Amino acid sequence: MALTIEILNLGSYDVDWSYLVKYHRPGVPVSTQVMSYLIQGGAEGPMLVDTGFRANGSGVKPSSDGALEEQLLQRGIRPADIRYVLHTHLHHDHAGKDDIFPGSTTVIMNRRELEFGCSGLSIEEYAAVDMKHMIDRVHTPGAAWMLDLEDSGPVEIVPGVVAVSAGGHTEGSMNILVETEAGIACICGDLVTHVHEQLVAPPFQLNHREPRIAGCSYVSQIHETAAIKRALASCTWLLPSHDAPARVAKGGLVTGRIGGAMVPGPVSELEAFRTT
Amino acid sequence: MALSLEILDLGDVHLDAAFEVRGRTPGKPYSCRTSGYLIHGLADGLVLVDTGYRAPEMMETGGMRGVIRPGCGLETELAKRGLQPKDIRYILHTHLHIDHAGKDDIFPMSTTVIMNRDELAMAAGGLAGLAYPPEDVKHLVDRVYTKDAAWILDAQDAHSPIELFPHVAVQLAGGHTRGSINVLVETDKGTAVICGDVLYDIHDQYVNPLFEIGHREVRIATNTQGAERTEKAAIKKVLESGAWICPMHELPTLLDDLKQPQGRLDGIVVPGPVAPFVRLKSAA
Repeated sequence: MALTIEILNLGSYDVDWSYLVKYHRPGVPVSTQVMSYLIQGGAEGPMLVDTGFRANGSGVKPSSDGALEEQLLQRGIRPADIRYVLHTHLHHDHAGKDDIFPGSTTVIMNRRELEFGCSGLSIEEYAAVDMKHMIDRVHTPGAAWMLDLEDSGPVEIVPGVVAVSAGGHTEGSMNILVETEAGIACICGDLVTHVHEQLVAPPFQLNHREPRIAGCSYVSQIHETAAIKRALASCTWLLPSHDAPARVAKGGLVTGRIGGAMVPGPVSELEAFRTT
Repeated sequence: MALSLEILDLGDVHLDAAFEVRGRTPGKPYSCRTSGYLIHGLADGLVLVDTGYRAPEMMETGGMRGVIRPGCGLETELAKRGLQPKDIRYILHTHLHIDHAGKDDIFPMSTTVIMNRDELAMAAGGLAGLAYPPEDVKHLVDRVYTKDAAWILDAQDAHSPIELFPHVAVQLAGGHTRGSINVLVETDKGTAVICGDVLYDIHDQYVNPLFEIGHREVRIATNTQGAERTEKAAIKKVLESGAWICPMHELPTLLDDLKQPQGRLDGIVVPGPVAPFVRLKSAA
């Protein structure tokens, strides 16, 4: 059975533009979506990439589709039916709901990311309560699958689903590559937060095919830039956690956007895209 | 005021002789002490280096046994000196293993815990399993997310000491665990090096190193995370860093100018008198 990816909309919140795109429109708020990706058709059962916020705190606008649990139930999926939860990274808007999943749902994360989140780096992005839940999983048989992607290279989770070190956003971020009938989809977390402003019409950039990095990057500029280019080169579909998916042509060109909730799915062509 | 170290007896650990020194008679029961070091004489207040294990039964997860003899244990040792946990201004960790960071939660958040970021990262990442118990690590995460409850160091260079207080510095140990640090305390009778578990048994690892034949070669521990070469280098660096070698699982040894043992501490205060240097009975 072919692998498909469904977008779950988990709500939205306001951030500063310069948080999404480095130095871009500081002081101007912009609404950004929070998403999970549900991978179906895998050999061991459904898989979920990221779990969104723990609670809809101040500034978070709940999703009209309901909470994560409700959206899963609408599809006949209980938390225990999810075989794996994979994390692009462990920021509080990505790893907030792991505790609705039993220990038999194995949470897959890159070890360096957990190390990062527990050791006092960018504490405004990680939540202590989420980190402590992860530590409990680490010490519960079968509840966590720790990857060491920087040293191991890519790891195949099930046939057609591969975790790779992202090399950007955070030190421990990972991309999840999913083989669909229409090519490889790369779930890239927050490596790209806004497709149009970072890849299609990036502000400030002068050079050919140079992306604009996000403001919320925690690695060096060169690592962040290279990581975006590497992700683009790895896929036909780029799936960020806060924006609608993009179709990517050879050479890392974004040529279209997916408007619906399924990948692969109908694409709206970009009439005129720019890379500089 | 001159700085001094006072040794607290935090309890014994019964384990296999081979756990400490690589290749040392596997299968033979062995026991060692667990020390905490109280640094006296700083204007900032009292600094306690390491806190021992949370409870004796905790050690059983590692196939060991903890025994706290009457009159020992952290709370008892503090009480004997008229101290309450809140009287300790800083806790400083050589590393965060089960028998070194087990009692941080008896101290209020106003007692600042000093640790190396890489060590906490290591502890949280699960690589070493229950050597870093989840109860201990979660407490440290709470400290990280509480204002001023944690002082996180980024000691990444083994040759650049970081001065924390006048005459007290730390440096990356480069051995035992990824984030272990040595604590260097300048006393008026030489520098004391609190070396965590980089060195367990100075006789069997340095003075008469088991199985080694090279001149001044050292024997590494079994309980290590690094490569043999880096572990050896880490031990050699400890020996170069001061006169008083202060491990956590045996009493300190005073080295002379030729780096030979002048004697083992006779008492619980460094600097202090020494007794003739002999191999530990439990190792023999």
